[in-house]
Amino acid sequence: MKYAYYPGCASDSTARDQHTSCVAVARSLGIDLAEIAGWICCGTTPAHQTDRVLAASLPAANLVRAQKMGLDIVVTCAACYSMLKMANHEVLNHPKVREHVREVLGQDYDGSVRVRHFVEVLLEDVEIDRIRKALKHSLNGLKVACYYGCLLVRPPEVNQFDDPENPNSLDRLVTAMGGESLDWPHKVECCGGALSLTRTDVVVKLSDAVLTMARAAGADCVAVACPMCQINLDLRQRDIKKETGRDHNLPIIYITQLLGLCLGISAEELGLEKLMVSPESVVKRLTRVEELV
Amino acid sequence: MNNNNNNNNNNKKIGAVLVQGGGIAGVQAALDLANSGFKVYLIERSAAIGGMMAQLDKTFPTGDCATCIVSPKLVECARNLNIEILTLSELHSIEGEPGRFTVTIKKSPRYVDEKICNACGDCTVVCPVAISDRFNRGLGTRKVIAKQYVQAVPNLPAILKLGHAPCKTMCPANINVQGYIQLIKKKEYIKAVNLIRERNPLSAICGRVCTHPCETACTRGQVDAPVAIRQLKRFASDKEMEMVASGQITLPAEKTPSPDARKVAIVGAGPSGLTVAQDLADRGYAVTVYEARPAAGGMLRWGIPEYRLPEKVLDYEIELIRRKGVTFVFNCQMGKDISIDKLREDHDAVFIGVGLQKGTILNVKGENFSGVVQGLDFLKAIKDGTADIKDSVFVIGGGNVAIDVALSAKRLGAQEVQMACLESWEEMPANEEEKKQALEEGITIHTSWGPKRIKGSEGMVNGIELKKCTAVFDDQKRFNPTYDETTTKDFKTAMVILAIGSRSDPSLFGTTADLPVNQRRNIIVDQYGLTEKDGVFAGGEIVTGPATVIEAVAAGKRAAESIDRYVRKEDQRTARFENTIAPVAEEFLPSTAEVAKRPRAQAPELPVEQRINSFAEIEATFSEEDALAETERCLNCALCSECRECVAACEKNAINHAMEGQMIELEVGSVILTPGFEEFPAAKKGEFGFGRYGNVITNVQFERMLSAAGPFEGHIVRPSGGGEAKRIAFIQCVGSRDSNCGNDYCSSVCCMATIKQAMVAREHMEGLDATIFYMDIRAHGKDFDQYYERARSETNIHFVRSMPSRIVQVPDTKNLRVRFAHENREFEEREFDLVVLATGIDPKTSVTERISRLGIELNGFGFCATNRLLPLTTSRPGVFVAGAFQEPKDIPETVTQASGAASLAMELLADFRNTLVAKKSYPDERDITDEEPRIGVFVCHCGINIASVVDVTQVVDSVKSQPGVVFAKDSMFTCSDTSLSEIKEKIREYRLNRIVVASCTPRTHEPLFRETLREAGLNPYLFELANIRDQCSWVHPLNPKEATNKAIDLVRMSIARAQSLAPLGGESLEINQSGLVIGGGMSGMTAALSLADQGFKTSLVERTDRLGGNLLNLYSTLEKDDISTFTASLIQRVENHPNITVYRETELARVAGHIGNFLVSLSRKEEKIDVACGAVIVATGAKPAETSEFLYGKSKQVLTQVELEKQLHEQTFSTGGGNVVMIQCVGSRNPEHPYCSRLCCSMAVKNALSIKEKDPDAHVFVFYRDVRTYGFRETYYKKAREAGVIFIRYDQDSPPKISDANGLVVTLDSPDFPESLEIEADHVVLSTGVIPGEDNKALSNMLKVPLNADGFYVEAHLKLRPVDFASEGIFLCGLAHSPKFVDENISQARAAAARAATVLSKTHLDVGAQVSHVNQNKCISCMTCLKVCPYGAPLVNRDQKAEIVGAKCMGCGICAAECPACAIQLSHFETGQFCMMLDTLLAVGNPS
Repeated sequence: MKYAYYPGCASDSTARDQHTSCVAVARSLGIDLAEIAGWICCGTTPAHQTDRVLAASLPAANLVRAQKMGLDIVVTCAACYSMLKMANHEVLNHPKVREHVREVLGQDYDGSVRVRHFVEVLLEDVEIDRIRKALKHSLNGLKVACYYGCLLVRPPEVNQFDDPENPNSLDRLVTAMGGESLDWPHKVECCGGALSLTRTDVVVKLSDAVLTMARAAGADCVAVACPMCQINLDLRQRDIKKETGRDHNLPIIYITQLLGLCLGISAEELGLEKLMVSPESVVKRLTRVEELV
Repeated sequence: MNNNNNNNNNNKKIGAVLVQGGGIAGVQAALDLANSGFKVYLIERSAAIGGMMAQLDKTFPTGDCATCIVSPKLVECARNLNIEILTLSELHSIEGEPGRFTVTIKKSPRYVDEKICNACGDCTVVCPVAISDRFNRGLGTRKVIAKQYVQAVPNLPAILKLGHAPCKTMCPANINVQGYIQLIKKKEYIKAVNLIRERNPLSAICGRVCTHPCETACTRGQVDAPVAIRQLKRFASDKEMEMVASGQITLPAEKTPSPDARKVAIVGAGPSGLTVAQDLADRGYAVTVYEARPAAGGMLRWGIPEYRLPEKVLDYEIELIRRKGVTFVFNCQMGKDISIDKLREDHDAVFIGVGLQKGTILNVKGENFSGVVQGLDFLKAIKDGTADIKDSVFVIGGGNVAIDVALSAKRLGAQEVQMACLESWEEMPANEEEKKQALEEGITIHTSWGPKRIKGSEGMVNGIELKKCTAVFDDQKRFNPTYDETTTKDFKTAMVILAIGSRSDPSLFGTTADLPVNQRRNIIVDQYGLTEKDGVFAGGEIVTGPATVIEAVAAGKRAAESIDRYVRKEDQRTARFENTIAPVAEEFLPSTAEVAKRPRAQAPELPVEQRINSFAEIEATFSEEDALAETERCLNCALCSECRECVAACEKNAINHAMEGQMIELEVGSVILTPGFEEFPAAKKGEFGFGRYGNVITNVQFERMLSAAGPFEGHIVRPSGGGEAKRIAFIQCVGSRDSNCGNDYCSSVCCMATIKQAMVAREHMEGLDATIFYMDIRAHGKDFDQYYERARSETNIHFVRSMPSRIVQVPDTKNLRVRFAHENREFEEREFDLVVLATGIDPKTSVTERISRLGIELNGFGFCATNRLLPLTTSRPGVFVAGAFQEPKDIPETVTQASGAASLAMELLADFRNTLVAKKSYPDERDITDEEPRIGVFVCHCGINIASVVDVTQVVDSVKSQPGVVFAKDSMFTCSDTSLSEIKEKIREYRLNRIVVASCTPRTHEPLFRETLREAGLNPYLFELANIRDQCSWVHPLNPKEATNKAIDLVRMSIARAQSLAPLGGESLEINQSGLVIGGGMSGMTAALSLADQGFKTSLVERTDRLGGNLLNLYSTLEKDDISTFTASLIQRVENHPNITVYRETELARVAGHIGNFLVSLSRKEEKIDVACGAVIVATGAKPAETSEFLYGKSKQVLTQVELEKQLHEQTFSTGGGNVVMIQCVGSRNPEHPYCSRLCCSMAVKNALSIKEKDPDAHVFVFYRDVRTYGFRETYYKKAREAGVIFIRYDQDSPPKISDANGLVVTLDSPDFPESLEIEADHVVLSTGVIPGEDNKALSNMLKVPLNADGFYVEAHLKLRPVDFASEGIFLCGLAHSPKFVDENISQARAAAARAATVLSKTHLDVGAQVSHVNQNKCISCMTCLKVCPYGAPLVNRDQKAEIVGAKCMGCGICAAECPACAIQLSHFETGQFCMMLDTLLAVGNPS
């Protein structure tokens, strides 16, 4: 089980913890992540808002590198995932874009590299049964609101990953870990996304709606798989409190961090100290698998 | 009936038609065909006809109860001698050519005999299995055996079966687990145990020790935990033992085999031997069991400790077997005391089931030390009381025996008990419950360790060394352990017990060395259990190696069957039980996603401290409460559980669980497809959360909710709980007009259906607040817009023009927040209690798949491919289509198409009409004129339906002596064939001349009894039915005495009335078999051609000098079909048809006569022509509306759509580079013309597209109110938008304004734009709509048929008789009915022809006997009857008195009720008859 790993820019900064937890989980489950040498930015929101060719070329530059490695590409960031998938979709369906990309890259790219989210790899390649057997700790009924945001499952014709309206891949992982995944209605609501810094007011409003619903559904924490979702929901809780008086105090934890905890990986390696809202309540809930028998 | 089978003439066609689909379309087509001389096979996939219409609550805009209006049609179908209804049937293939098809039908079993069942419903009452009811779209439950719905036709239940549940297929003995669980649910414990014992005589035993593979297979396990099947089995068995012990029931009597019984010897009284013994004893064999030990049971007795299986339980079940006549011979060992050969000599067959007696050895050092014992020997020694025990014990093995050994050692006093096994904890073969018990009792289990050597000194064990086991199984999953020899650990122990398996005892075969064995010394047998020795069978562990109890039982079952077949010299292969167990297909297993979790019941266990000191049973049995709760967890995977409660309850023996499906081949001349549609699967629109949020339901679910016969009896509630739903949102276009889900078309009916639902809901609940979210309201049908306007004027129905983007369920209240954008683009979230999704019509999945198999071409959406000029014709000649499968449509259009398709089949098979129809002949009627009343009374028990409440014999006794009664009798089912024959017999024997039946209801059974009278030579009107079931026993179940008195009164009243019943005879009128069509437009021509092609002479009357009508001004359809050519060829065919006489420049002057015999006077210029005909079709058309609005007539640049079409066709239209503005609804949908002209939106789209095609840069604006491009026309609306046509909405209150001060300028205030729009127009095109012809009034007076307020003709019934007039023999089609498109007019014209053919195809018409008569002496000439009769039956005769034309009278009785002089009597419902009934009831000295 070997993949070309594309960490994305956030893995060096805001989502360092997602990166380290992903790598640790992969190691623990026997997944070989070979980081793509010389990977570059996927282009993210600025590219796709300004220039269609740029938005396809930047991811394509990374895809070409993975193609040379002869491996599927694996991503942890939902935004990177979306950009890479979209680049494939563009060159496969729009010959003109493919031609422009060829000019930019100096070589043709045929859109054939398979782009996988790390969650996809866990569910499809490792499979739930194997994960379950590897677990050392259980979430012991912890109530988890799985939050997918916009980019992990949409647009469905491009991503082709999970149900775009009521996805359940994170939920399946949480259930396997012994947690209770909540059926709540805001799984795919927007958190404010890239407006994090430019329009904090919007982010506060949208993230507050998501967190209010998660709390109403009885969540002990929110599991995410996207650095943007994580930072908006986690970092802005303070602003939400200031604006609305609502103190959600909900840990926003990467799915790889939760899985890492259950696999017995240390809190340091999982970067738990990077979370703004302390995940202590989650950690305390962990129970050794044997004790549950 | 004619027989065509032997006729080889290829020109010969078959006068029969197959109609596929029993919805309203199929029913209508079948009735029209059967009533005009064709044999019809009506094929329906489900168990009852009725289709979607039977599921609706009310219809729009009439507000009729859908069931009430459809039911009579269904009943008529069922009663028609020439319609054969085949339910549960699918059309499998069509071979052959038009006129001569061979069709194959796959008919699934109903499991209820259609000829015997009388629908008493007893089976439904006793059935324990309630499943989600598809008819109610999952909102309620139904029994597995039930009628599809209350009014189902045929009126019969059906059983839903899917195969066999996983628990049953996984059980080695295939015990009907689901069945006995359902019986336990009903507290039928003895029946449950009996059902278990059919497959397993060791019920109480397996209830304790079975390894229950059934539970592993249990679907419930995917929800929370498997059903506790083993414990339920034990519960039922223990209940039986308890009842025996308390004397509630007794043990069955001892049997002895008959002296001449065949003899079978069984060696070994273990589970397999016991099973064979029971089965063969049951089959009458003399069975002797030879057992080496002093008691029966084998390993059950010596291998299983008392705390798990008490001996008294074992003894009990062995005693039951013994009582069947089985002889046991104990202390008799094979090979020593007896030989197989000797046994074979003395018996007809021998069964060897000796099991495995020896423990497997380890082959490690030290195994011979004293203190090393075999587990089986140890357990046996405990039973014998000879067991030895040490302080510390080490058990080797990980199976159930090992754990039993360990637990027993503990009980014998061992201080320290440890276990070691090669397997990991998960891999250990022992049951989870036993592993758990071991841990609880403090036993240490070393998993993944194997013995390296046993240590000892002086021949005595003192320890054991273990080595790490790295893997137990190899890649092929075979047992092949590998070890890490370097990782070891040591333990001190005084005793080592080996429990690692068992093997056969070689000493057993001392004298049977000639029985072949394999290398493990297991006996070799063939697949039926026969050894190489003739007549010697073997089974169980001695054949298979180590096995479970249930596997041994299964082996015994198979062997018993084989032995029986062997002795009776029958074939071993065919029809063996084990080959009949077809599992439920995985896709049909119940969905586990939405099943609420419920904990599995836990049986109490002895506390650890109590159990380790004794051998008392650890586990207790369930309490009754727990057991019953546990049965509720069963998901009924196979639907029917085959518990056979229905079989026991059915007094008529109508139920047969072994019924099989069949393939039926039929010869037919034509096929009509009316398969209907499915609802769009709402869960596909995930944003609305259907299936996820409990209070989001579909429109069909809402219909069921509104229905009084539905699961909520008409109450509008929240399915999630929480009472009434007051705030309801309706979301339109779910799965319609939506390219995202591939359904670009409009479903045509949902707007009106929703408006109706809101209006009806408003009546069901005070304070209802309904909000309808829509894109356009498409109220394009006759009288629809008026209905819409009425709804809009309601204060509590809100129309919001917006497509919601998402629904969010509020977690605590389960309320729903609907998110939508207002016209001003502001977002809003509004909260509702209930959301109804208006799911569209979607033929996908099942319908599409089935039809495409037949070689019928489908369109891109999966509907039947047709075109606008041939709307009813499929790609396969001779196969026609009607209804929603052709294009989404509502009921009247569906009914119209059905009749239209029938006319196509009639045209194809015209010469073979009346070749295959049956006509019943009856004996001559007995003349009873001079006879005194001689009344026969038959009182029905209706099984227990009447008899359980009403004392039937008392009723018979009380009425015997009533005046006129010469015979009275009760019967179990008066409607059964035998009872009906008896009635006929008694009529002859006693010369009865009046019959009274006291039974169920005349609604369903009167025709049957009347028929019986006719068969016996009595006039059918000499019958009277007293309703003592529906109106007596069913409503007074708690007052049997009073109910009996009431029944007696009812019967006495009927007897009284019967005395005055008189034979009635109708007239038989000769029919003039020619037709007359009024109007030479497209509809008139099509209708005339259809009649002419069917062979009827037809007159076509046209007012102008030219045929063609409005068609002459049309050039193409929206879909670009060439209308000009079509028109020309139509005119040519009409003019050249030998059966058609065309009267041009002719008008009607006078119409006289009635159905079958009209006399029509025509006037052509000065000429008068009289035409006689049997039926009249009105096809007078309509005309384009004129206008003076928007400068029409003042400016040359302002034209109508019709004029634009002409200019476009003649290529004289040019935009001149400017804008074209089209204005819709000019003079329509306003107070003067409240109706919608239906055509204009599509016409505007058609012309706009034409303009854009010629000049893509042209600017075309369409100002509209609602775009009503329904059905597939929606795709052209989309095309127009894609082509750049700009559609701008306006409100009725602020219409566009036009000025030509500086060229044409149109201004508009649109609700969708913040500011006024001003467009300089080169052309302004007005959609002016359709208005009725002004001479409709005169013609309607002449024909005595009504017009509506708009001036269009009014049909007999808006929904179900769309082309009939209330007056018989006159039919309607085309624009005279209402505005509609060419394809719709074609269908309607053909429909009118088909309906007319039901009259013209007969030579004579039987006029009903039950008609009104005027007493001329009493008549005061007030003419009230003329005013009130809906059918125009009364006339004023020469004496100025009223007289009723029998041919027109429908027997409704309105005139009789209204006549102020009481001059009118309705035959058979005469005042005198009712007075006699009342007198009898109220008579002084009433004996009851």
